[in-house]
Amino acid sequence: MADQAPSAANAGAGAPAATPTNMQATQQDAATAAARVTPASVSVLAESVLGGDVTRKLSAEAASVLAPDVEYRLRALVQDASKFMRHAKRTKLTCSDVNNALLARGCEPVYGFEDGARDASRFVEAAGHPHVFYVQDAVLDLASFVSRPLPRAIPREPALATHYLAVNGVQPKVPQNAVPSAPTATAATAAAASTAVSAAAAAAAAAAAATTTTTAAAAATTAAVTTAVASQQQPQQVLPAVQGPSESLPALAHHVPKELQVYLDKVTASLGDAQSSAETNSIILQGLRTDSAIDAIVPYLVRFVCDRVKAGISGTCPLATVQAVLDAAENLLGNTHVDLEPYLHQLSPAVLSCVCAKNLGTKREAKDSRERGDDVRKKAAKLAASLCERFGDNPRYALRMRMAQTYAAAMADAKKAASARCGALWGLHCLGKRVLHATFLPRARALSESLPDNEAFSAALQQCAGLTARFIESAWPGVPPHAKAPDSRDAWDAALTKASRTEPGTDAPVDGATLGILNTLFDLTAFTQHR
Amino acid sequence: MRETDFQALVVRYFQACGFTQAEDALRSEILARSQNLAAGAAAAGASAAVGAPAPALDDAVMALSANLERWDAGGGAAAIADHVSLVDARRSSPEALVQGYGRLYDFVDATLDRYRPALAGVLYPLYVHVFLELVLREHATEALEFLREFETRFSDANSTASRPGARSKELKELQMVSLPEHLRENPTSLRYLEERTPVPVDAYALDILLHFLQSPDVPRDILLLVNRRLDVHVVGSDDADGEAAAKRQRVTDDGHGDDVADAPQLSLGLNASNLEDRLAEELAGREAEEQAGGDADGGAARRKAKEAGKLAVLGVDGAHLSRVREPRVPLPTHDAVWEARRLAHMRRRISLGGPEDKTPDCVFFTVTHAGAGGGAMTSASVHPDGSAMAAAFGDGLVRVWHMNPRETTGNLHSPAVDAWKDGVRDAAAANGGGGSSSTVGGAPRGVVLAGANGASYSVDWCSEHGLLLSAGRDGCARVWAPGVVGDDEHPVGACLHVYSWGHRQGQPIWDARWHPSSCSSFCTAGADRIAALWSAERASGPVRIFGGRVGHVSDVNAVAWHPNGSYVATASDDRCVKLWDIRSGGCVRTLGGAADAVTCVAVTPGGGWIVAGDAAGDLAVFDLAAGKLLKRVTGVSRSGPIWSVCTSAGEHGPLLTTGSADGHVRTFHGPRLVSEGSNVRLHAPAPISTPAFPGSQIAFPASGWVVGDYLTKCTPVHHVSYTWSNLLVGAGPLSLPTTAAPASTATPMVLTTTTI
Repeated sequence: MADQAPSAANAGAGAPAATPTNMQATQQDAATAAARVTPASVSVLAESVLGGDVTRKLSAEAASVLAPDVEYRLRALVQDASKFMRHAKRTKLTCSDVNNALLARGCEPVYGFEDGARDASRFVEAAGHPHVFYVQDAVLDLASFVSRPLPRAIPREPALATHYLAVNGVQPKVPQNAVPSAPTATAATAAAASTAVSAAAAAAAAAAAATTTTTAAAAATTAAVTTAVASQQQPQQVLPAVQGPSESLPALAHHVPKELQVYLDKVTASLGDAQSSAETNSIILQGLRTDSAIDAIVPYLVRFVCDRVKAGISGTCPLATVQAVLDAAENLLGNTHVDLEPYLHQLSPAVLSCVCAKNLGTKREAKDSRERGDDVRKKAAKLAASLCERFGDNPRYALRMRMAQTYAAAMADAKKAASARCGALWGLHCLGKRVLHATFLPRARALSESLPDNEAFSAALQQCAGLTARFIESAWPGVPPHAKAPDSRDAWDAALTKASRTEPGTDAPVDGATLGILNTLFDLTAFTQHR
Repeated sequence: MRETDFQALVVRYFQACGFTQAEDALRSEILARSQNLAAGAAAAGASAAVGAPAPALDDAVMALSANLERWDAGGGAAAIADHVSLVDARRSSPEALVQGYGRLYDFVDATLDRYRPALAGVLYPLYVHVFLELVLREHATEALEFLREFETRFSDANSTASRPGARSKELKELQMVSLPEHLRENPTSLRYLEERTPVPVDAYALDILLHFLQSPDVPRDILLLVNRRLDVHVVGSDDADGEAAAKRQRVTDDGHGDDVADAPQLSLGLNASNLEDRLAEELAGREAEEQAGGDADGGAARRKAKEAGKLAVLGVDGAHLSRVREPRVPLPTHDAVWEARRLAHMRRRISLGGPEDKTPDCVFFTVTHAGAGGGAMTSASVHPDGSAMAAAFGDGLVRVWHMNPRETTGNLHSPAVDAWKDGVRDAAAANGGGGSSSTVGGAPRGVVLAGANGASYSVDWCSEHGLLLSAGRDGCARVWAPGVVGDDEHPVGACLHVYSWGHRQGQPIWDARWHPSSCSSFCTAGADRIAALWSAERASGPVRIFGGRVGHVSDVNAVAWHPNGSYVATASDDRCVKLWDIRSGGCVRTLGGAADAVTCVAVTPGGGWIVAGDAAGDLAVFDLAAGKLLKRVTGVSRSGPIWSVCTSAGEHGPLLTTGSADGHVRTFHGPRLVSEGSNVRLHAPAPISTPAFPGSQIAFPASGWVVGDYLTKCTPVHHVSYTWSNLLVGAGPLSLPTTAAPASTATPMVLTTTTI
């Protein structure tokens, strides 16, 4: 009976409503429309206004009469307020809009909610004066208040800044313009890129590297072009976009403001000086990580980093400096206001050669403090990995694939110095499990036998083996740990290659030899641990 | 009254009116409900009592028939009428009926914007029916009076005595009906009596209509008429349906529909001796001189070249319009200095569009620290020579920045940018060498113009004298001389005059625009549904009010001048753009078809088209002479409204540029003129399909029209305009995404320190 009551009330109020079909239509819509003010909510509000006073209670009839009226007035108020919002060219309704709407209709505005106040101020009735109210304030502890840091945002005068949004049909790459978002390649291209990488890496391990790589590269290029096409609205504009905006603009002298020049001098001086204090360096690095205005000096900073790394490899620059500039590069990469993409072709070779360098630092350092050199190598490897993380998915550069190839070549090259091969191993380690699976696994045994006496190399080998083993373990969870290992060396190698070619995660059959190889891998881990 | 009593009453009423179907439906509903009840009771007491259903059902039927008998015994229809005044026997006086209709009219006029178009569909048919009802009740004189009283509100907007509109004809025929016998003879009245006029409305619109009609101060007869004579039915509560219906309604019922042939002719061409033509002649003359050399026939060639030049310099939007020999409204003499300056800029104008699709170069003015909440920046305007920028703020202040000629040198060069830099330099020189002193540390310092009470919503530069017009919440328009810092001749921030008493007290002005070529007059648009034309010399009030019967039925959001200064276009929340003749003050065009409230409007420099952007982010181009929609571009703004729209000048037709809330400055082609023999028709290029890209969600509904699409970092674009030399300028406040703003925590701290 209760759910039928509205129809009776409706009819009772005005019976009129015409033909029964009309009545039904109204009812249906009232039921479906969610945002309606119901008599129930009116009575709830009335209760909260009247307080706990049981004697004064809103009758159901009054509530049902009030509800549509309340709804109508609310709608009118919101309509007016949104007009004020729109003419202030905002898309967010604020309390001042509602107050403006109230004022325009000749009503008293609602005080206490203006501009950023989260809650209404609490008004308290003054004791003894029934109609006098005052704003209640929280009591503050003066001591703690004084010791509080100053508010960060101090209101400042509006100021004007001009920049070129578009010249000759392209948006100039200035800090004021939106940074083109490189890592937002669609999921499809990302997946395509990662398969291309693993395919290319496997191919590099096998002999027939050349053909596959070119195909992959060709595929990557096509993908890059399609991305560019998709990101441009007009096919006519594809050409300049692929060439890069800088090429369609005339070459011009780069203008750097004086204060930035001074800043650049300070940064290079401090980072270049091995004696500068850690505190200064940390302040500088912090600046590089967070400052949004350094866009103009980024090319100079990148060149500085590359120069110092080169000097470090050729033995004319101390290790501390190399470490400092790598830190700087890492922080620049972390700066969301800076786009390092245009400088990738400078930065990535420098970092890679740092990882795979024979010697790092001055001659004496290279001889005396090899361990510190290894630390720097590890840092560079991490930086290379984070470059990969950020730009590796862009098929235009095929960064991950190229790095993996470089590392794999250096790692397997017996003519290279132990330090370089060790660095390459660390580099592969940082690139992650999937790359290790593709490049390290086929050579694991050969590597474990190649440099038996080098401790650092063994340690790196052990780490890589551990990571690969964990990866395989997670990829094929059901592998029994003590399957029989293959006997002959050829069988070993064949099994290794097979394991590395089997795409993890698929339900490819794991035969005895593969199981054996996995098993050996566990043994290998144990073996290197024992040493 | 008990429910059973009430049911009986309704059944009796249906019988009295002969609604047999309705009666049957109600009876079956009562039966069904009692069965349900009985079933419920049976389920509850199944274990206790068996055989309960039958008595319950019987009870319901018994009660109904008993009640019916009781009603009949108690006086039948009269008894019903005592309780509910619905029966014909009880009628309200003719005065009450007329008064009730007036109330309904006012109610619809003041109702929510969204439902007004739908509800307005009730008014005209009901107007006819109230008249017919009065005739039927033999109140002929009252009926005629009523017809006359409301006639002006309903007759067609563009009808004249010689060419009456469809509705005027109808009303004329109805006037001849004075006796009940005539009702059956007059074809118009017969048609209205025999057909129930369909009125499609939204569910909520029907709700509020019924709620109003049931209120005690509206005579029941009105409700009765609505029920009996109109077919008010609900079309899906879906927005799209309601809006489509509302649109249909407006087009057919406002009388502004498709009868553009009846609309008055407009003289949309530019004034004789306008600057465009002077520029064309100058260019063509120079060219002809070069070609002809010292030839004797040079004069004729020059003349011919001048004619060709007229077409060449003006875009496709105005090329086909004939020049107005004498302006329809007398113009004040132009300031020679400013005219020369403007011409100098126009000589360096970049030709946009064209065969190579030349895109505009864009300089963007970002206002940093533009505030948040109520005090934030609301609108901006860049002087058409690009040398100064003004912004209005929510706290009522207007800030003006003059460009510094030394600091506007960037690293980039293009003809448009160079022209702008030169212009800024010239402007600074003309301002008495100011500029250098108005800057601190490289950034131009703002001049603050204070005086408005409440928010400022609009600011506009005059093309002459550098005067500034602002208007806002207080309903006043203010004219400022912004001046230059360090220049004694031009004092800073002088308010020259406050123009008030034009708009309704307490209602804000949403937009204010200067006359396109002089500072003698300006136009304001307000929330009181009117636009007002002001003469700058007349302080007492506006010289024209554009509104009333043919005016907008909701807030006027934006106003734009026709380049020849004889017409004003207004855009409104009622999804219409109207064109007004400033000489007669009448509405000469109503352009419907926008999907949402129109937020900005611009007339193309050639004077042929109107471009309007709306709150849903769509763009519409109308042809003024034909009064029809040329094209629509949907999805121009991906999120939020289009805030500003402007059009470029030049021979390759106007480019349309929008600035929107999603931070994009987008430029589109206008429709193109294609000549086929002697016929010149408008050609809309077919949209080029975007290359399919697997997995991508990108869709460009506007592709093929797009010339350029530039994204700001995090700045909604409040203003876009083209300078005289066709440099695109945009302006907006930097709005960084707020993260748990430290400012809001700081504010209470500052407040509480005062109480310690």
